Amino acid sequence: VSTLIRPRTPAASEPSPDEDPTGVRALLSALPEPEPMPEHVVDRINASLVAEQVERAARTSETSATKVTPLLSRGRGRRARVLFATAGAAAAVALVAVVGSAVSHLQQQVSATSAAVAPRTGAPPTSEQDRKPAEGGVGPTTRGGAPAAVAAPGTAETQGRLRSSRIRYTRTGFVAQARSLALASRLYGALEDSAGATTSPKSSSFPGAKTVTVPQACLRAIGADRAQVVWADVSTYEGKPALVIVASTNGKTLAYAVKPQCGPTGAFLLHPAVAIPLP
Amino acid sequence: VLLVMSRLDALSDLPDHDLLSAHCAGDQDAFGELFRRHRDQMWALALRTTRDPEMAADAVQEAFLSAFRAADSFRGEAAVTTWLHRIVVNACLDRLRRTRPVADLPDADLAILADPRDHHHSVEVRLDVRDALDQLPEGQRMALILVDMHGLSVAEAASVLDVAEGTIKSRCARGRAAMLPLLRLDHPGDGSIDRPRKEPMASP
Repeated sequence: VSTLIRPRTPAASEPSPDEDPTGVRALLSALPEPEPMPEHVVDRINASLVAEQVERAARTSETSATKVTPLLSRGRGRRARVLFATAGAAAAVALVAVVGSAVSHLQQQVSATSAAVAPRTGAPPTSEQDRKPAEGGVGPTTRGGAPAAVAAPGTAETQGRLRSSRIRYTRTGFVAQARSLALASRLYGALEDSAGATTSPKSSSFPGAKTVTVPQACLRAIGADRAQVVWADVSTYEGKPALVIVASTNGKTLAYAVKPQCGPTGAFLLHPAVAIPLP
Repeated sequence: VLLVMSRLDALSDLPDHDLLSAHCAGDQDAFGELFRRHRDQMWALALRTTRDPEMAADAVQEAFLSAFRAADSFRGEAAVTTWLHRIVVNACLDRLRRTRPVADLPDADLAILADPRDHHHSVEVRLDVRDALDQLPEGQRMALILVDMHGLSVAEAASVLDVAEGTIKSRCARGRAAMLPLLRLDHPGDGSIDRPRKEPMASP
């Protein structure tokens, strides 16, 4: 692969440092090379590019006149190709991680493997809890200890959908990372519905994905108990275990990072509420 | 998984132009390969321009997002890397202008600062190479960063900064000349130049 710009290799026609009577050019070129881009910056930019990619895919999907077909039957489709490794669960994620590209980040950040965290309300998820609110039409859905949850009209978001995305949330990249979580969840929610999951709550297009209710006490503790749509991610924040919550209330979306113990005893905020711009 | 891997291998062999074209055509992986390929170079440029890792990270992120969105506007008249350089430089300068609106000192102020007869300054102010560079007007500073530090040719730097090649040559010459007295503040008249400190650039 040819790269036309190569640092520190001026063309032959360029005056050499020796031709600079001041010697300043030699001084400047002798300054130490910056180190490679730090990993946390790479992760942060990858997350923002993933969000942008998901947004672009969503726009393309919206403008397309063709109906989205079930993922499992779209083996040759572009989206299916991208989601291929997503459906491949941990082994695929581990393998593509070795590849170390933005694609692997996409796969890692939007993979929807099962979240192991159970609601702290004490009630295990029931089949009703597993059911998405948009199923069978839009309307209030009561589940477990949670209040009535209303999916936004015309959307397929699910209240309290917990994921384990493997996004390593950081202070500096939190907004972009939380945004990518929300966008990916929204897109996948729409795809799942189009894939026929509406008729069978258990037939998720994403093996291992599980929909459970975020502890209502936790939502209340952070002031998000009136949210219409909630996405949650079991992951890490600045290297420590965390529950990242993105809650949308009346069109305003806020993201929080709390300790996983968030519940009746309160919430320990690792990252304060921050607005997430969503299209 | 094998499909994904072979596809990534194929992308890594594509030239920049083809990757950008693929991205414009809807390929979901092409831009990630461009980022992987050029991120360190753009990071270095942003660090050299801003000298602030946080600001550099913000600028590079904004630049790649801008490039992602505006890929359709790339006309192929210059190298993709030149185009990326331009976007990164603009993102850095936008931030610098917001946070350091008085960074550019007029030439007259520079002359005062560097007056070798001003012994008060010569005692109190000892500028290293980067500090001296920061005292230059933006145009001269960017020309020296791109040509002398980042290793671009005059033609490439002219394309990045969207000025004529002669302007780059002039800015480089004037910038070097302006830096010379700044670097001699504590050695007035002895003809020597302070050597740059060899501390690595800060990186979080």
